[in-house]
Amino acid sequence: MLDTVLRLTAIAVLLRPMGPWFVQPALLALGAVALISRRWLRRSSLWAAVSLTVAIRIADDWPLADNHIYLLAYWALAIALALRAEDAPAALATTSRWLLGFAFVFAVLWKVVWSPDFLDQRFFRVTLLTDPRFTEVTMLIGGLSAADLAADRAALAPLPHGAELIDPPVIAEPPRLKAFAAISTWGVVVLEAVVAALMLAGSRAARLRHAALLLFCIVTYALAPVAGFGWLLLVMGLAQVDPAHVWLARTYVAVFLAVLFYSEVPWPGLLLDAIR
Amino acid sequence: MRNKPLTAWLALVTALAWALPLDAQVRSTRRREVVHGEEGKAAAVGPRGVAVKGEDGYAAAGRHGAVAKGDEGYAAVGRHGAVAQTEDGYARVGPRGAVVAGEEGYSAVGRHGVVVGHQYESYEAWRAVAGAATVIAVGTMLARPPAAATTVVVSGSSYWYSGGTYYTRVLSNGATAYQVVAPPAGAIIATLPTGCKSVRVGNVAYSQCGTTYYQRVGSGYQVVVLN
Amino acid sequence: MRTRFVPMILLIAVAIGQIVLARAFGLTPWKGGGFGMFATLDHAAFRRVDIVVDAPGRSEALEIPPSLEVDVARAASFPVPWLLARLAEGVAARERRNGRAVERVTLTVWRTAFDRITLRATDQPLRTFVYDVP
Repeated sequence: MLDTVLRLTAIAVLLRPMGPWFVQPALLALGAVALISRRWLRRSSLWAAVSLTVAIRIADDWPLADNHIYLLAYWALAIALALRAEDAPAALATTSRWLLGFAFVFAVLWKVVWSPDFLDQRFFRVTLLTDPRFTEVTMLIGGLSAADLAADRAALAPLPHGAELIDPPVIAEPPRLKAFAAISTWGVVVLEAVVAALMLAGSRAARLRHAALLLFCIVTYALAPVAGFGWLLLVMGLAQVDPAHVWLARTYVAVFLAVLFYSEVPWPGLLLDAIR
Repeated sequence: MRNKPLTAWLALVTALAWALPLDAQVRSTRRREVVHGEEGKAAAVGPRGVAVKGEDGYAAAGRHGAVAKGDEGYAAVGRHGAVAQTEDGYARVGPRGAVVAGEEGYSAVGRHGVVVGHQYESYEAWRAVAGAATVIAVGTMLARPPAAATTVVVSGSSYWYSGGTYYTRVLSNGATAYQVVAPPAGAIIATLPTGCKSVRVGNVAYSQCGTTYYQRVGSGYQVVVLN
Repeated sequence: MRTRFVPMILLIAVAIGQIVLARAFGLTPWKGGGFGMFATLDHAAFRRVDIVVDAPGRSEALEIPPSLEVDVARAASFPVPWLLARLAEGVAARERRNGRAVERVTLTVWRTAFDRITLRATDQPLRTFVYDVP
């Protein structure tokens, strides 16, 4: 199980090359070496080097690095430290639980406490209409035509500060789209809160914990185009699986591959074409 | 059929010529004309614009812009810029830039620079894509001009200016409003807007900002009309 | 101290630091390791930077060239003086390289706000920074 976790982490690094010239080749090489050599796969120093290289990337790029890059740095460090422990799988499982738990805690806090525009559904209402990555999803689920969506995007373009149109264009928001925005808003918050709580609840809620994390990844990464984050969450979840629960481990691997397909197959567009 | 603008008539005739067989039905009222033909074809013209519908799609033009839609996709142009979308991708252009997104990836150029990428993994990429945005077209009516607008006086007439756009105060339904107008010749602004390039006409240097020419004068840049 | 606590402590420390920077200094919640992504519309797609250069006989707003795009992204994401100064220095250096006079660079960082009900969008100024070229 530990080898699978480490290999999938290396695969995640290779699938999303990152960083400037002095970071990317080093990371790719470390990932490749980890896959090729089992001896190096289990070397603490390799994973410490991954963590350090990612940290260099974060510092060089600061503040532009996405949050999953930070999580990768912490995870690689966790692996490096666990491999030096007496019971590496147990150490890694515990660290994984805490990292996931606190990452989700902060994600929930941002949405519920500090964001001015999440709980009132503005985030999803605007994102679904303006983010081109959600075009097909918005048309499929919201029932908007391409022309309607283009008109909405134009209507949502900002005016200069203080300006107001006399006859502002009406933004077409079909009931289905509003409902989808509402479901997405509350669904994400509830699911993230459940994952956070279960991760920090300790080993008591193991099955529920895995179910919640898998559900979160299956649903979220079908729509959110950040596969790198999904792979990392899944690898961290896999690290917590009891080696006796082979079916659960295989489920994690299957969802890892599913996220890969989500990221490569334009399923919303294909579905939209099939329906038309 | 009374008081029809010439352009609307020409548009209707053109539409009829390609869209309709000889045995079409015609209905007319004082304010609009509608012609229905076979196989769902139709054309209409009224005070707000013209629309034509044929077998493969439709086209319409009105005071807010124009749109055409066919089997392969659609295109629209209006107060906020232009956009086209087909099966293979999407393109949008405005005064702040342009973006093209297709199956293989995307490229974007605008005030934030040029970005070409295959994956939308990072939000930095989306920033460039979303950067192509508003232009306020001439004729647009505003209840309030931008807060940063400065007053520009040309031959005794006051205008408001901000970010390359000029506004004049008008009355609309009895209330004060501001209408976007073409840059008035002689207007002097302190700072050139973005997107200007230096050109020489004869021996005189100008700054060309879109379709507007500015000449450097003591207190700033003056709108000039070149023949 | 058990070393296995280190990654967790790092995560918490960085996240708390990010919250402080976001709440007090305008860092976009999407960046900085606080896991605020997908929590708010205040992200790079809805922030922009306007650049005006001034010199005797010259005052113009500039489009952002590719060479400065990363500095613009940094300044827009975190509009603090040292990042804005870095961008302004880059603008000034580029103008000088191209033989154009520059004495002052004015940067204005804007953020798009959406109405709660109508979703109407307006740009609001976040910070203005004036850099006098030495």
